[in-house]
Amino acid sequence: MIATRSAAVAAAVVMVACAQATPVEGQPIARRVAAVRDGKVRMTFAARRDICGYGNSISRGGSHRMNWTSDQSSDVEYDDDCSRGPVRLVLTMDGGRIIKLRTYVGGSWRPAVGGVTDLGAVSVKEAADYLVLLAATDPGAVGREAIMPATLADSVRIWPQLFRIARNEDRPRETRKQAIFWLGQAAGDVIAPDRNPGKETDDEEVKKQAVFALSQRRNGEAVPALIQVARNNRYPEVRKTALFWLGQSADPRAISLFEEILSR
Amino acid sequence: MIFSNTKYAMAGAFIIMACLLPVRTEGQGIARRISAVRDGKVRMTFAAHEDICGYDDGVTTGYRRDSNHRTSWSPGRSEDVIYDRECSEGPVRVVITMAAGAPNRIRTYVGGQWRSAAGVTDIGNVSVKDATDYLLGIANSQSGKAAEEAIFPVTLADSIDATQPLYSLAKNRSRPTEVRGQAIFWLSQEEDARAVSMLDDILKISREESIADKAIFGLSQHRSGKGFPILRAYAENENNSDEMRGKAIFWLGQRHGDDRENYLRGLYAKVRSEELKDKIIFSMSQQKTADSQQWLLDMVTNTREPVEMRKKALFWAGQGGAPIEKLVSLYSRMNDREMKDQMIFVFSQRRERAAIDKLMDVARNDPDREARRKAMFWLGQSKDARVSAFISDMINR
Repeated sequence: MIATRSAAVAAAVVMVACAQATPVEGQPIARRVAAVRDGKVRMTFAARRDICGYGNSISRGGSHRMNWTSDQSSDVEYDDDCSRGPVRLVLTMDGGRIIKLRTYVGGSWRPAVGGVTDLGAVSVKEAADYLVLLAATDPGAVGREAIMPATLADSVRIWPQLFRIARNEDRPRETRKQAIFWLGQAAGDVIAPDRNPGKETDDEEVKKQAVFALSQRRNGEAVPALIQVARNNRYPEVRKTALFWLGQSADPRAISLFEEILSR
Repeated sequence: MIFSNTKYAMAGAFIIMACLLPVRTEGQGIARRISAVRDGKVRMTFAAHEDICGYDDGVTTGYRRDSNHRTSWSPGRSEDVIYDRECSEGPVRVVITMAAGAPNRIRTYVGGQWRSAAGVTDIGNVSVKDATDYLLGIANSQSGKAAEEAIFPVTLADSIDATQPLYSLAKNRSRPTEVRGQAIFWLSQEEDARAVSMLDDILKISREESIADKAIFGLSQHRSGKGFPILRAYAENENNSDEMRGKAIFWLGQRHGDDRENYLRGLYAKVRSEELKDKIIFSMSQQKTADSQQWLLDMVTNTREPVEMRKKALFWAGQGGAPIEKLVSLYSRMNDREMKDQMIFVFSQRRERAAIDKLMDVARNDPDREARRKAMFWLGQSKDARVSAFISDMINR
């Protein structure tokens, strides 16, 4: 049943990819991935300039480190603790369906040990479209995992599609939460691009902690108060922190605020 | 006439034979009658000692002396016995559940009436000696729950000395720890003064920490209070493990009154191990008196004490209801970051308005950024209605 459903999703991904406005670029990834029944599929695409990777983590702006896997990379090796692009994507296939998606930045591929298909470098737009398509169609964890690498792609605008996913109540809750989280991150970047990381004043630091404290209020007052802070606070970093915690709320009012900011 | 003489002769022979039989025969008779039941329940009754009475799920001892020591051992209503009063005197009612010819569970009641039940074998009223011989036989030879549960009814039987058999069982290393543990517990409930020295003996000779642990507990529970000097000596003896000494200190701290606080204070000054100091601080906190709270607060401000001990004293002072005004007044004397953090945490755990006031004061005015951050964190967790407005004001000012 699951296999049938996944195969249907894979077919849908291929079909939707064929119907995209850029079929020549969009088609090949879905089709080439679908051609692999078992094993791993690797590909790379250009990364945003403000990110670098090491092992199981990706850093932004030199100081904001994000970890999303708990074990050491089994696909990529690093000789630098801040290795610039590309984004490296590894899809694990089982019976023609994608069962896992892992993302790295920088480094170099470990030597392939059997069952690895390397699609090589693909265009950023093609990769981003493919990933967003997975997020919009895959019913499980892969859909959720596809969102983050899409946000790392260089010079592409994926927010309109992420808003659709965030608001689509037919999508899995966790996938929608991921979309909202990354929309909040993107809105925060618009409000406060990393200028002087780690150089906040004591006052800013305490205010950021206060924003967190506000986010923990449980009687429904947190979201309007955080929106007020995100709109009006004089410190961009404090506003950005409010956007971060709004991104955790999955509240429709937060999504509307993100859209307002990202549409400017 | 001949017939009549023969009849008398036979009757006489029965009486003589009965007199010649060893005493054990009757006890063995009970065992034989019970083990004849392969599966199902066997009921029996025997005389209970005076001053105990039963109710649905427990037994009250000492009710005639108004000491009303109540023991409950099952959470539900009795499935075997029905009661029409709150305090129903004897007999002891024992229900043995047999499984494959062996006792599987033993339930004990006092007083009441048997509930009517089908498929139950009732062997009726038996002598105290037979009953206790049978039950002790199970405790001394079988394993599993039945062996543990066989001990309690022995302690309820009328006119028997349970102290010595319990002591023997408790010392018997070939018996399962759980059975020995039960024996120690019920030994501690015996009013017999010898029980204290027996428990002391068990503690001294025990090789297993689980048995020593139970002996320590037993000494703390004996109603004479004579176990406490033994526990003190044990706690002070550096040859004993810190863990076991800590248990003795714990139980010393559970009994209030007399010179317990002075003793614990003195012991704190004597012991070197931080683990034991920690236990003493906790025990002091359990005294819940003005003196014990003041001792804890004095320790909080005593910079010669290790920070870890001061933090523990502060934690337990906070938990033990030290006046919030005193705690608030101590904050300004905390120069150490760890102590400040702990104090902020202690405020966060208190429900008084003054505690939230202090957290807001720290969040707004403390020159230490980390202290302000921590106070803000805990304010975020508070249910106080004033907090949201305060935080918003802090962010926007």
